Amino acid sequence: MAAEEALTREDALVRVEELTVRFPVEGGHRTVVDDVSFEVHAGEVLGIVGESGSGKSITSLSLLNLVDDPGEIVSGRVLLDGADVLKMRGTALQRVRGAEIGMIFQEPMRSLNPVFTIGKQLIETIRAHEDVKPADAYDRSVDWLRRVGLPNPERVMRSYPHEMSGGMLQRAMIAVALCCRPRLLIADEPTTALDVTIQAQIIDLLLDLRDETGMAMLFITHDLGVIAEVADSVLVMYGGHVVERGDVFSLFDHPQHPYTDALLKARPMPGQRLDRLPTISDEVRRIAAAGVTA
Amino acid sequence: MSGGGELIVSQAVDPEIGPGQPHPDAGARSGRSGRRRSLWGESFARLIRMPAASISLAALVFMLLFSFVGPFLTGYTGDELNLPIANHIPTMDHPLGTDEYGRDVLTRLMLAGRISLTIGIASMLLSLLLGAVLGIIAGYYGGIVDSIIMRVADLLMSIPGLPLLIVMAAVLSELKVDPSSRIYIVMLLLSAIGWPSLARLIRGQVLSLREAPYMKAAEVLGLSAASRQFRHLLPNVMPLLIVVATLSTASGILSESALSFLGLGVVPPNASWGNMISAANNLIDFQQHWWLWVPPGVALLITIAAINVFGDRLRDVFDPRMRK
Amino acid sequence: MTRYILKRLAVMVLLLVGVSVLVFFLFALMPGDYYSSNRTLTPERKAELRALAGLDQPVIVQYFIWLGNMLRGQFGYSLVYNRDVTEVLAPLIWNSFIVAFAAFVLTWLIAIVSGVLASVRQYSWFDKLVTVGLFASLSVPSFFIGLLMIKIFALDLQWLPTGGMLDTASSSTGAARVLEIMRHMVLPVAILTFLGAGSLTRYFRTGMLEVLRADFIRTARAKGLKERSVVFSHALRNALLPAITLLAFELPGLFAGAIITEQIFNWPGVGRIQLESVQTRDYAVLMTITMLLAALTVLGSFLADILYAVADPRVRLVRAGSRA
Repeated sequence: MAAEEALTREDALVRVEELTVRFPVEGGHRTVVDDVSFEVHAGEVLGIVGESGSGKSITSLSLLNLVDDPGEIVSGRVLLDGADVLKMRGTALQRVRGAEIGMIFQEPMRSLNPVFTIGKQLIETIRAHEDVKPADAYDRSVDWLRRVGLPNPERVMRSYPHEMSGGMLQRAMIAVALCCRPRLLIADEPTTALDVTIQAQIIDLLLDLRDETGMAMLFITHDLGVIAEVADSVLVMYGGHVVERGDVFSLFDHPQHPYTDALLKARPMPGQRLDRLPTISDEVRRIAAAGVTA
Repeated sequence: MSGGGELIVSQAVDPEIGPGQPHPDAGARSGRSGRRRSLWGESFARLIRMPAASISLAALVFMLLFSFVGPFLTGYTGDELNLPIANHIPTMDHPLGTDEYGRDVLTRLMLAGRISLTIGIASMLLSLLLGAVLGIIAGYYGGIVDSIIMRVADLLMSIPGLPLLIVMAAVLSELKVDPSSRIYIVMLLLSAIGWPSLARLIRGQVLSLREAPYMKAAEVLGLSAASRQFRHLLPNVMPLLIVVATLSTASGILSESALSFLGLGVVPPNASWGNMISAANNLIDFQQHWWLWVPPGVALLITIAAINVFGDRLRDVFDPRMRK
Repeated sequence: MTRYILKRLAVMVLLLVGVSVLVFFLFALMPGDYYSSNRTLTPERKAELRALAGLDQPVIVQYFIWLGNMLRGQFGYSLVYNRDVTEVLAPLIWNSFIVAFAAFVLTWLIAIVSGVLASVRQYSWFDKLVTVGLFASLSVPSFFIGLLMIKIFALDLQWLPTGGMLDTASSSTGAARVLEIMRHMVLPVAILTFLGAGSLTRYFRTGMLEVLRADFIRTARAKGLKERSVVFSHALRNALLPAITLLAFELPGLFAGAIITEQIFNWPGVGRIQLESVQTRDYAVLMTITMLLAALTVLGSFLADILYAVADPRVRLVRAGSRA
C-alpha cells in the first residue's frame, strides 16, 4: 500500500511481529490471534476494525502483555524502541505501561476502581511513574481533568466512579491514561458503550489530544464509520488474521479483499433503497478465515 | 419440547449465583461432531475428570458401603457381650478392639455410621424440601407471602444453631422420649434449624432469575404460574440446590455428632459416631482406650471432608466463570 | 441515611421481641422445673417454693413478668448458685471473651494472609496446601480435634495443661497469674482458630479471585502500577468490603462462648454453664444466655448492614439520593 511504502522502518514507534495468541478449549486450543504483524508510526492513528471475535481486542491487550490466564501469547514480538515488551518483567514493564503506552477500555464504568475516588486513581498513576510531591500530582491531575473537558475538575477529583456518567468517566479514563504523557494510546472500543452524541465528543477529544501531544493512537472498533473519521491507516481483521491493510482512503475507495468489500457494503447508506440488506456470505468468510490477505 | 431432565437453557443465563454472562468459548461447545450433550451430561463428565471429585466420591461410596453393608461382613452383630475381653486393644479378631462390654468396636462403628449417615441425609432432604418450596414461593410471589416467610426464617436464624439445638434437645429429654424415637426427633430438629438459610439462598436465586428474559417469554406465552415455576424456574435453580444439598448434608452430620456427643442427640443403646466419641469423657477410656473414640472421629472426618470436597467441585462445575 | 438506620432499628426490636416469645415458650414446654426433680422436698414444700418463684402463674403472665424484669435489667435468679443471674454470668462472660477474642484476631489474620496469598498464587503448592488445611478445618468435628489435641499435647507430651483456666488449687496473682491463664488458653484458642480459619480463608480466597478478574484491575496494571499495589491496594480493598459484614457477625461468638470447646477444656465460660444449666434445669440462667445470644446475633446483623452502608461509597451515596 502506498502509505506504508512511503514510511521507512525507522519511523515505526511500535512494531508487532508474528503475534500469536491462543486460548485452551475442550480438547485443544483455539488460536485467537494468528501470526499478526503490523506497525504503528509516531503521530499516526492506526485503526483496527473487525467483527466480534476477530481478535482485535486481544491483539491490543498483547501490546502491553495484558492477556490474562487462560489465554497465552504463544509467539511473537512487540518491539518498542527495539526492545521486546513481551520479554519485559517488573520495573521495565511497569515503565512501558502508562508512561510509554497508555490504554483505555470499552466500559468506563467497570474500568475504574469503584471504591477509590477519581483523584486518587489519577494521583497514584502520576506518582507511580514520576517523582513528584502529592500537591504537584494533585495540580497536574486537576489540569488533566480540565484538559479532557470535565467541568468542575476539583469536584471530579473527589468523586467516585458511580457518581459520574459514562461519557464523563471515559474522559476521566483518558486523563488517567495520558497523564504520564505516553507516546502511544491504545483505545479499545472506547466509544462502543456510549451514546452516539457522546461518541462524537470523545472522538473529537482524542483527535485534539493527538494534535496537541503528537502521540500515536491504536484505535480498535467494529464501527466503520468511526474508522473513517479517526484513522490514518487501517487493519481489517477476521478470525485472528489481518485480512487487509492500507491507508484509510484507499481502503474505503478500493477495497482489495472480498471481506473488506462485503463489510463496506453491509452498511446501509442513507438514500439507498434496498429489498434486502446485504450480508457477508459464507464464501467470503471462508476466504477470510483461510488467512488469504490482500 | 424438552421432557424429563434435559436442561436446555438459554446461553445468556448463568444458572448460578450472579448475573448471567455468556461463556467465552460458547461457540466451541456446540461445534462437536453434531452430537449435542445436555448441560447435565456435560457437567457430570467434567466432574468425573477432576481427581478431587472422583476421590471424594469414591470415599463417600466407601463410607456408605462401610456403614450399610459392612455389618453383614464382620461376623458380629455388635450386641454380643463378651466381658472377659472387654476393653481389649485391637487384634486380628477385633480389628478395632472391644468396648466395655466386650462388643466388637468395628461393627459398632459401622452400625453407628448407619445412624449418623441416615440422620444427616434425611434431615438434609427435609430441610431442602422445606427450604426450596418456601424459598421459591417467597421469591416468586414476593409481597406479603415473602415477608411472612422471611420473618419466620429470620426469627429462627436469630439464635445460633447449636444453642438452639441444645435447648430444643433439652426440652425433648425432659419429655422422656424413648431412644429409638429420638433418632427421628433429631432429624426433625436438624431440619427445623436448617431450612431458613436454605430458603434464603434459594429465594435470592429465584429473585435474580425471575426477571430473566426467558421467564418473561414464558409468561407472554401464557404458561401457568405453576408451570413457569416448576418447569422453567426450577431447572435453573437446580444447580444451586444440588450444591447446597450436598453441603448441608455435611453440616447435618456434624450437628448430629455434636448433639450426640453432648448426650442430647442419639443416646445409648443406639450408637452414632458422635456418641461413641463421648467415651472420651471417661478419663481411663480417653487415656488408654483410644480405639473407642478415635475411629469414630476419623470416620466423621473422612465422611464430612469427602462431602465438602465433592460439594466444592460440584459448585465449580456448575459455575461457568470458574471453569478453566 | 438516618431513616435507613431507624428502619433497621425498628426491625431489630421487633425481631428481639419475637425471639423472646420463642425462647420463653420453648422453655414453657419443659414439663419439669428446678424443684420437680428434687426428691427431698415434700409436695407442699414444692408448691410453696414454686409460688415464691412465681412458677404457678399462667404462662402468659409469666412471660410478661419475665419480659418486664429483663427490660429493667433483672435477669432472674439462679437457683443453683443462689445468686442473681447477672452476678453468675458476668465473670464467665469475661472468661469466654478472652479466649474468643484471641481466636478472633488470630483467625482473621491467618485467613486474610492465606486467602490473599493463595489467590495470587492460584494452583501453586502454597495454594494447594492452604486448600487442604481449609478442608480439614471445615470438616473436622470440633470436639474430636479438641480431644485429640489434649491427648497428644497435654497427656502424652505433657507440654500444656489439660484444661481449666488455672492450675488446680492455684493461688498465683499478677503477672504469674496472667501467664498461667495464657498457658491454659493455648489449646482452646488454637482449636478455635483452626476451626474458624477454614471458611474465612476460603471466603477471602474466592473473593480475591473474583476481584482480580475485574476490569479495573486490568486498568490498574495497564497504568503501570506495581503488582503489589494492584493486589494489596486495589484488589484487597474491594475484597475486604463485604467482609465487614462478617466482622459484625463475629459479635455473638465473642461473648457467648464456644459451647463444645469450653466443655472439653473445662473452661469456666458462658458455653460451659449453658450445658450445665440444661442438666441442672437452672432455667433462669439458660433463658438469659439464650436471649443474650439472640440479642447479640440480631445486633450483629444490624451493625453489619450499617457498617456496609458506611464503608461502600456506592451504597452510602445512593441512599443519600445522589445520581446512581
